[in-house]
Amino acid sequence: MKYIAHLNGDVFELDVAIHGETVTIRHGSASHAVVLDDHKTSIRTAFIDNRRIEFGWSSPDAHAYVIHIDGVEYRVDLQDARARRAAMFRRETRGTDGDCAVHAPIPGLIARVLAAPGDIVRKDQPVLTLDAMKLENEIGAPKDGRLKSIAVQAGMPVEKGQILFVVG
Amino acid sequence: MLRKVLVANRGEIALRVIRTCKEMGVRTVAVYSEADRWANYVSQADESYLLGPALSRESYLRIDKILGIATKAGADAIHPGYGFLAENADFSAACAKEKIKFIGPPAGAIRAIGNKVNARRLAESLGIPVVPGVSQHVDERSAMDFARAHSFPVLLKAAAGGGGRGMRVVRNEHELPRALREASGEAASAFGDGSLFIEKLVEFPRHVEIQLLADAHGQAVHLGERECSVQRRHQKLLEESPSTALDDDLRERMGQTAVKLALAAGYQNAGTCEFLLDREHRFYFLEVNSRLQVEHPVTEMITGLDLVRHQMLIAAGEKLPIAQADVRRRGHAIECRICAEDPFSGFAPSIGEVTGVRFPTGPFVRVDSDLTVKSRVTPYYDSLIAKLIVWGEDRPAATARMARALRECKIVGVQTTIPFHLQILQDRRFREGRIHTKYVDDEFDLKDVKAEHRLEAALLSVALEHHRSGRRAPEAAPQPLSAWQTSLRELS
Repeated sequence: MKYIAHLNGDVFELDVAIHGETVTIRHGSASHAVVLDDHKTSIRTAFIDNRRIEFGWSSPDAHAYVIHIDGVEYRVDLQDARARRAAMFRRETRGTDGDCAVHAPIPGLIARVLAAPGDIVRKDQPVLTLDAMKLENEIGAPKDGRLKSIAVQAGMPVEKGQILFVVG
Repeated sequence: MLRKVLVANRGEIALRVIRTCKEMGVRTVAVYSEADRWANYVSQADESYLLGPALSRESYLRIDKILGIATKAGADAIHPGYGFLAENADFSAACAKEKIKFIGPPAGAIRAIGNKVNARRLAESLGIPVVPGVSQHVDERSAMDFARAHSFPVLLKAAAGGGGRGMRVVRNEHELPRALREASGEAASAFGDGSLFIEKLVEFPRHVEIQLLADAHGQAVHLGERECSVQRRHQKLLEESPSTALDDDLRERMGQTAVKLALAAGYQNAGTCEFLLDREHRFYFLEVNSRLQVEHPVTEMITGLDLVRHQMLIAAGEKLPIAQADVRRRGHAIECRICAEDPFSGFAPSIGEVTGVRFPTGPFVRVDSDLTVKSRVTPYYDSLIAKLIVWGEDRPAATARMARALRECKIVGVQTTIPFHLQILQDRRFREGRIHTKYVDDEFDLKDVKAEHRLEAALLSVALEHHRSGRRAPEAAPQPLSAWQTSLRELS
């Protein structure tokens, strides 16, 4: 499971695996073992790589955390990598009129094409899936309309920004 | 003795007063605004009454409403705390009219001494040193005469205004004519009046204040000093006693000066006489604060006297039970003001709900705070959310203890000034006692430690997310604990 953590403008890409009660988190070339206590209180303890750390926390929104360490407040927004790409994609295509070209939000491999040129599609209906960083990303129609053309086919590698299909 | 006291304040100081009342067997009445309905101090009082909307001028500043409640509740005294109506002579007079004792000085004494101009005049008439100055328009000749008499540097100030415009520091005779022209021109264009005053510039002054207690029978004692030079833009951040700049002789001279002033003004109750202290250890009278101060616990810690208790005894008309020779000071005390402000963003207020609190405990640690889990830090009132006070056998011990207590202190939900205080305590100048009122503004560099634990924060967030997302038993966000659960947890 991959997460992107946003912290006051900094971005951490973290890869998570679970081993019993230990959450193993890879960050770049480093790997950290995190064990949380089983309390439900707002002030808790954890071990990070066998170092005990006491911290305060709250979660004002889903996937948003406020962490207090040594009197300093850190605001962390988490996205799993898949949701992030979908969000980026939605941002790129939101609110357009007329013909709407959909570009690859990231480089990857077209896994499947789920619709054909001429099909009527609803907004957010999946048109194809894009494999990237071992994650499958569904890419949907940006609006209701007719699928005018599809520029790619299954198995094809694409670059970031490359046109995938056009909805009119 | 007093039977029932209405506390015309909120937050930590209201709780502070209520606690002593309880210890003295005096019943208490709390008043609160709509924003403070669920505040801790409200439920600690025997009775509590709604004052009005959150805005102070609709609630805590409403003399009529407060007196109405006091009458209805049958209170025989009102404690004003600090801020709000504490130094309001009209409030003191209105209480007297309603035959309710004001736990503070009578209106006449507040007027005589609370007003800076009056207080300075009184001090001068008693031969008490004030910062030398001429409060009438100066020209080049009179300015030069003044500067020669009192030695450079001097300060030129616009008679009509403030804010630094029309203000010049003059360090020698050659600079004076030009500084006069410039300052006068600036004052004329800013305030429509080019008149200038001149005063001696006290460079690198310390802010040292003397705590006073005076009864209604002409007795007054001083309880030593508090050093309040650690301030940012005139806001005190940390106070301590004793001051590293005072010896016994200077302390006694400053103390006796404060007592003399209090007696001359007919002062009653607790009060504080503020002085500037220059590098040559000359002191100058500044003003009198005719109330209990935020930093009064520092004095309580080193004298062992409960100032609120003595305020109540004085208000009840009793004689001071202590003479000057009975006042003993012991060890060193420090107070840190914990504010809901972000020291890394120019001390911007940090508003929000407190979701977790754990105050420090252990030997010689005191916390004055009304904060509990679920407290809301609102923009309506002061950002002070807790005062941390420690005592130590000497200054290094107190400093180390304060650092320990600050690290134990956990306040979750708002950013506080705790990281600032930790850095001050480690600063070499502070440790050597080389501080003055511009020390924080001009000489102290706050290190931005916000980057230090970023990765840990990210790792913890991911681990928390994973615990919640069903990889293990599902976990909800922390539920705020009820008050009794919190107390149980604190006890255990």
